[in-house]
Amino acid sequence: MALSERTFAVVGKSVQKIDGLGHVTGRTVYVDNLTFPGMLFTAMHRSPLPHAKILHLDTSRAERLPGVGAVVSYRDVPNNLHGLLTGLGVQADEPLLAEHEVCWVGQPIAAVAAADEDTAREAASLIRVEYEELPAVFDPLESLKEGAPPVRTAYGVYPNYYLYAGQPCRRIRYGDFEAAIQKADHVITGTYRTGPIEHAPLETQVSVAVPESNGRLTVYSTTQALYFTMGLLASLVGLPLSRVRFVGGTVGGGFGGKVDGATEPITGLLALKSGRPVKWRFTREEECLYSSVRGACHLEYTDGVMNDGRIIARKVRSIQDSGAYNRTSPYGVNKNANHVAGPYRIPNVWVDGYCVYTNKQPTSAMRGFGVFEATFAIEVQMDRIARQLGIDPWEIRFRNAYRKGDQTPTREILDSVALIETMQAAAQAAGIELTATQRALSSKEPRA
Amino acid sequence: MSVATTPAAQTELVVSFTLNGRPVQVRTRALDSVLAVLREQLQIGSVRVGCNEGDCGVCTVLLDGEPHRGCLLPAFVAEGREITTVEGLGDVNQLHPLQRAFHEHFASQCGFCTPGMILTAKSLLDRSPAPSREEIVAAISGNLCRCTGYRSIIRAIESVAQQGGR
Amino acid sequence: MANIELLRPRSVDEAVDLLERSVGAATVLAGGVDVMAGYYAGLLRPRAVLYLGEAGLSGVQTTAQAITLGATTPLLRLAELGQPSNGAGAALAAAASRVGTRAIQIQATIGGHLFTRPPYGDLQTMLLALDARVRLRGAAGEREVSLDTFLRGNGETTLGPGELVTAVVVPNAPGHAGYERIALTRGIGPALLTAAAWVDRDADGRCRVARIAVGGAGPRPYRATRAEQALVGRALDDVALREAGALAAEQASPSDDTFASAWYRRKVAAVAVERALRAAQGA
Repeated sequence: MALSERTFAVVGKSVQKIDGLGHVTGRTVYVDNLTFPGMLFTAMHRSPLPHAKILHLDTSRAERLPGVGAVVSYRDVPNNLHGLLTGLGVQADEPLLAEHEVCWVGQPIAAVAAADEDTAREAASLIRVEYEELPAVFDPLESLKEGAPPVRTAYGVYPNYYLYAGQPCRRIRYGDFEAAIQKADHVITGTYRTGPIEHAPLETQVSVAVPESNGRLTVYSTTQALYFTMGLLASLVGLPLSRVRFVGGTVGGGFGGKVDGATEPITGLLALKSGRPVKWRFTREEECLYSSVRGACHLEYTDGVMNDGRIIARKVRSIQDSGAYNRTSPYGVNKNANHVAGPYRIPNVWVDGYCVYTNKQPTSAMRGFGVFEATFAIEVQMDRIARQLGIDPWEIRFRNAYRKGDQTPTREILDSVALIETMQAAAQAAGIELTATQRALSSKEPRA
Repeated sequence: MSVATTPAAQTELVVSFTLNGRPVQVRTRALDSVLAVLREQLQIGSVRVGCNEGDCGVCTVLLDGEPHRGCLLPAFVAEGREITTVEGLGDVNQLHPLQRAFHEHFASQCGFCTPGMILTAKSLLDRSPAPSREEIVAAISGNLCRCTGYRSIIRAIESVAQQGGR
Repeated sequence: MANIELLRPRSVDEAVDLLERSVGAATVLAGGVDVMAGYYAGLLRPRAVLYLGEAGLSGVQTTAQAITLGATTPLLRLAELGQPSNGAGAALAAAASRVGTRAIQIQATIGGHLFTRPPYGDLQTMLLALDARVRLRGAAGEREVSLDTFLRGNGETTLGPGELVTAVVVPNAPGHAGYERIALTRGIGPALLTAAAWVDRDADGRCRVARIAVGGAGPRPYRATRAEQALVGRALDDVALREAGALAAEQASPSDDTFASAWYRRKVAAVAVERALRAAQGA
């Protein structure tokens, strides 16, 4: 039977959310609703400095405070140095709990589990750290410069940027930008910057780790990525996966911010050490200051454009602020580089995408990771081109839009593209009158 | 001299109030919030912690029918008064019109803001049964939602207002 | 958190007495919006709390001369003061109704509002333009002081040891008020800039009295006295209003903060004052 003749139960129908009734009656259970007998609460002692060597760490006063169930530091973490993307070949670079060095204000150093939040916080404040301050750098453009102070010095010599196949940036070289730019009728440049953004989910990061009598560790978590976080915890804490059980459920908003294992490895460690269930709920302040954020991005465009509006050459220098550690930024920069030339057919594209470290809060995934920043820059640049050439902004996009069979700067041959159709539908919805020629365009037809 | 020697001083209080129509009694300290007491002593899971400083609205409760920030309200102030949470509006088998409308209009995604939103809407419709869209927007301006973009929430409330239901 | 003693006076006299005997150790609790936020943020660690909600300090009294607002009167009560549409009551309602959201207005009190820190304190701007006075009581008795004198900036006041605010007194003078509030969001979060104007004109429409206050452009709201003086005797046409806005902005001492830059606040102050003056021209 043809697809158009079938009747569907779900496709094309408005279907109620299975958790909708729970939401409106208040019955939906979020991790912070969970409580267990003997449960302890967590507080973290964090770095007050953006960059310093740790000379001495003393947790003894915290350990002695009545009501404290356990204190953990780097000494308690079997595999302290880790990375979220080791599975993709990105080297581990971040300690779960700082050992030699702190590289951002707020970096976790030692955690306490105690009978109530006040006691936990008091104990955390009794942890003593001796520092030797080191120079810090906060601007990714400064960090890239020759002679900039190194953002991280422990665990070896690192440049202040991630190395992609031995190169300081992710590179795309398609066609011959340098030759093509000479032939352009116009050279149009633009610099665009997006700021860091906090996901601000209404529910903050929460997890409860429960040591079971059968030797397993059960973790109730707000993570958006159960298997990912489960694997992270297991490897950090040195447990086989068969001994770790993760329970997820309704997440009170994630947006990419509940993927990095902000609380789970810590509650897991504290639960194993204390033998008691341990909860950690981030305060709103912790969520803003210490959880991952979308990294700031700095993009420089140099376009070679012909009089008729065709973009024949595009060079993009894209600098993404990774903060003090990798987290998922090397991957984000890949996505950024892949998309940064836009949904437009450009025969000569040069991209340099940098993943740069600074002594700030590590940045990571957020909706449209790497692509959101690019889209902003691309479309403002298109409007700039349109203005400079005196061409209608819809027309400039129709002229350059991908068609079926076009090749991308990463050498993919495109089969199914629909920018033209999307623009036609958008124009209709917005009540914009397109020309007959524009209305007749089709992505399936090669350009004239 | 210790202030505690005066007859007016107390450090632990017994507070009696009505919760969703039932009389309850709790022991609290001076500045324990209604939010803390509802969650920790009365198993009310719908009133939540979002910011703990009165900015987000997920801790919204109705005190004598009026919206309050549960995180900013000292529990002792509830003495002799009525607190309503969504558990008191209706349940799965008998939904309040606002609960039904929120569900049918997809006015909820992650659900975290939903109870607070519904309570605020209820107090609005009790006060003003035929509110304009502008009035609805003003009334819910103190409840943050990070997921829906608010349109479906406004539509849900409008639909209840149009039906004359509260 | 250590156990906190809760003191619950049933009258103003008892409140003053308890405050005196606590020798500065008691934190005054009115509505609780600021005290609770501070307590849960770990910034306030009171040993004792003096709750004013049962001491008979709530209520609004209107006479021909003045509106007297009891210190623990919730802002919502002010937001609901309506008529007459051109009086001090309407002015208070216009400003109070835009402080936060209903859930905040129903709990926050006019007395507590005098102690709130920038960037909060919208209503202080309107009170300043209305020439409000603060009534205080201590062991030595009662006194009244202008709000302008009372506010010292950054939440500090000239409240003496052992003293309580018992009321805010707003004179019922002839004239009209205008108010402008500039903010990034409505309902939640502080204003970036508030401007309040009180104007009384003579039969020819010329300005007899002008009071202009600007909040959010300094450690406390200020009276834009240069702008006020420049308007006396003038018709309130566009030129006059723009000049007044510019003069008011010159007197600002804004700072950069998370919400806006000093540059922005000064720019916007001029515009907000102009709008407030325009709104103060009456129906």
